[in-house]
Amino acid sequence: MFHRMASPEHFFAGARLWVFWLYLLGVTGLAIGSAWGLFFVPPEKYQGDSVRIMYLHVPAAHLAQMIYIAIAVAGAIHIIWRLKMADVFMAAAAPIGAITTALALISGIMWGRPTWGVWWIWDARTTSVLILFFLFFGLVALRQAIGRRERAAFAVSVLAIAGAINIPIIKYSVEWFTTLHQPASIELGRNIAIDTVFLLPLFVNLASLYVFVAGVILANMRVDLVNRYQTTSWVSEWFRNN
Amino acid sequence: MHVQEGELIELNGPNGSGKTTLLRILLGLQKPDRGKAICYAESIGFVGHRPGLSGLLTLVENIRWNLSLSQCVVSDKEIRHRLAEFGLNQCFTVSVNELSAGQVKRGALCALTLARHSLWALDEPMASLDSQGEELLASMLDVHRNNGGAAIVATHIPIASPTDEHIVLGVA
Amino acid sequence: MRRFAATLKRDVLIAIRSGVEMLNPLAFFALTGVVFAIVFGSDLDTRQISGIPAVWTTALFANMLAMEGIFRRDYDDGTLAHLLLDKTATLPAICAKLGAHWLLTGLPIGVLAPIVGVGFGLPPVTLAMLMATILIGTPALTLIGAMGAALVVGLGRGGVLLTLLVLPLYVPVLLLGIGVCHQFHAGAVYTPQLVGLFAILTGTLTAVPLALGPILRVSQDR
Repeated sequence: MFHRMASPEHFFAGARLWVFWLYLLGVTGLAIGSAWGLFFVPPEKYQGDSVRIMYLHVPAAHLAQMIYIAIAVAGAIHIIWRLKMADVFMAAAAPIGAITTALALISGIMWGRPTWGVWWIWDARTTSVLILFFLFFGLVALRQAIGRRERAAFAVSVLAIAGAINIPIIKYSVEWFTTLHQPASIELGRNIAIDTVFLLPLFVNLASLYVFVAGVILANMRVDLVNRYQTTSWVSEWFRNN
Repeated sequence: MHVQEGELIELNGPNGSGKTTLLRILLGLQKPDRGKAICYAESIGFVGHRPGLSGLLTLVENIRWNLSLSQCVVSDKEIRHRLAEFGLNQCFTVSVNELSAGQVKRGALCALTLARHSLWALDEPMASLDSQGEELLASMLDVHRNNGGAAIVATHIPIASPTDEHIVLGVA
Repeated sequence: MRRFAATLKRDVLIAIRSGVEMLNPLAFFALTGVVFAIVFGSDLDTRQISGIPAVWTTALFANMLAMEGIFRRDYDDGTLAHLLLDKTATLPAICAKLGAHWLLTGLPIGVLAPIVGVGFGLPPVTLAMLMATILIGTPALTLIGAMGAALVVGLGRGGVLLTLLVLPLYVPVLLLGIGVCHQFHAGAVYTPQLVGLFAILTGTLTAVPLALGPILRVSQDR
C-alpha cells in the first residue's frame, strides 16, 4: 500500500476519490459544527457571544501547528530517503499552512479584543504562531526562488527542519520572558474549565477541518504532480481520457 | 565508465547535451535525476567554467590555499617556478581580478598541475586560451598521463588523439 | 588543522583586501545605534529600557546583513566548488569560514556594542553584560545566518529572501539576549535566559557546520 502510494502515478489516480470524499465530509462537518457552535450553544458566562470565535480559532491554530510538524517530518523523510512524494507534500501543504496560520491569527485578534481588551499581546502563544506564519511564508518563498526542483526540495526540507526546532524554543523562551513582564490575564480563556456543551461542536469542527485540509492538500498535490510529470506518458494519457 | 591510468576520455556533444552536467555528477557536485553516481577516484582535480581562484588574492596566494585544501606541500618557490612555466611570471604580485581571462585560465590549469590529483576533470579547458595556451594544455595532459594520471575532458574542440576514448552525447 | 588554518588565513586576507566592505556592517551598526539613541529622546529611564533591545536588534541586523556575503564571493569565482570537491576538506574549511566571518563581524560588533550603548545612558555593568551577551549571541546568529546564506547562495536576489528565512530563526536568540540584559539591569535572576542562550549556541555549533556541507553541495546543482 505504502509502496504503491509512493509512486506518483498511483498516488495521482488513487487520491482522486479521496479528495472527493474528504471535501464532502469536511465541508459537511464544518457546516454542522459551525452552525451548532453559532446558533445552538448558549452564550458563555464571562465572554458572552465572543466565545464562538473559538470554533474557528482553536481548530485553525491547532491545525497550523500540525501542518508545520507534518512538513518538517516530510522534510526529514525527503532528506533521508529522497522520496519525491514527500517533496510534493511539502509544496502542497506550505501555502495551506500559511493560510491556516493567518486564519488563526486573524480570529485570535478578533477574539483578543473582547476578552483581553487588546487586539494583540506578545505572549508565548501569539509570538510562536506569528513566527509560524513567517516560517510558512519562508518555505513558500524559498521554493519559488529556486528554479531547480531538486535543489528547492532539499533547501525547503532543511528550512522546515530548522524551523521545527525553533517552535518549542520560542515558546519556552517567551514564557520565561513574560512571566515577569506580563500579567497572567492571558490564560483567562484557558483557565475556565470548558463545559461539554461548548466542547462538542469544537471537536466536530476540529475533526472536520482536519479532513477538509487533508482534502485540499491532496488536491494540491495532484495538481503539482501533473505539473511535475507533464512529460511522462501517464499524465498525457490521463489528459486524453478526461 | 572506466578510466585507466594514463587514459583520457573526451566528452563530445553539442551545447546542452549534458557534458558539463555529466562532469559535475562525476564530481559529486550535482545529483543525477535518476540513478546513482559513485566515483572511485582517489582524488579529483577540477577546472570548470568558473576559475576557482579568488579575485582578490594573487595567483600564488590562491594556489597556496588550493594546495593546502588537498594537503599538498609545495613551496612558494615551486609555485612561482610553475607559474613562470605557464607564462605567468609577470603576474606574481597582482590580484586575479586584474588578470585577463586567458591568464586566469592558465593560472587555474597551473594550480591543477601542482596538486597531484590522480584524475582530472576539465570542462571546456580550451575556452579563452590562446594557441600557445592550448599547446601548454596538451603538454600538461601528456605529462599527467605519463605519470599515471587519467583525465576526463568535456570539450567541443577535439583535444584527444584518435586512439583515446570518445563519448559523444546527444541532445535529449 | 592545516586546512582550517589556511582557510581562516585566506578568508581574513580576502576581507582585508576587500577594504571598506569589511567595515560596512560595523558602520551600519554604529550608525543605526546612533539613530536610535537620538530618536529615543532625553528621558533617561525610557532610554535605558529601550537601549538594550535597540542595541541588540541593531547588532542582529548588522550581523544578518553581513551574512549574505559569506559564501557569495566563493560561489561566484568557483572556489566553493573546490572546497566541496574533497569531502574531507569541506568540514574544516567551512568551520574556518564561519570562524573568520565571526571574527570579522560578530566580534567587532560585540566590542563596539558598549560604545553604542553609552548613547543610551546605560550603566557600565549593564554595558558589560550587553557586550557579553552579544558576544555569546553573535556566533549563534552567524551559524544560523550561514545556513540561510547557504540555502540562497547563487540565487541572485538572495538578500531580501535571506532576511525572510533567517529572521524567524533569529528571534529566540534576540529574545534571550535581551532577556538576560533586562533581568540583569533590573537586578533579577537571569540564569535561565543565559542557559538558553548557551543552549542555542551549543546546538547551532554542533549542527550547522555539519549541515552546511550538504546544503552548499546542493547549491552547486543549478
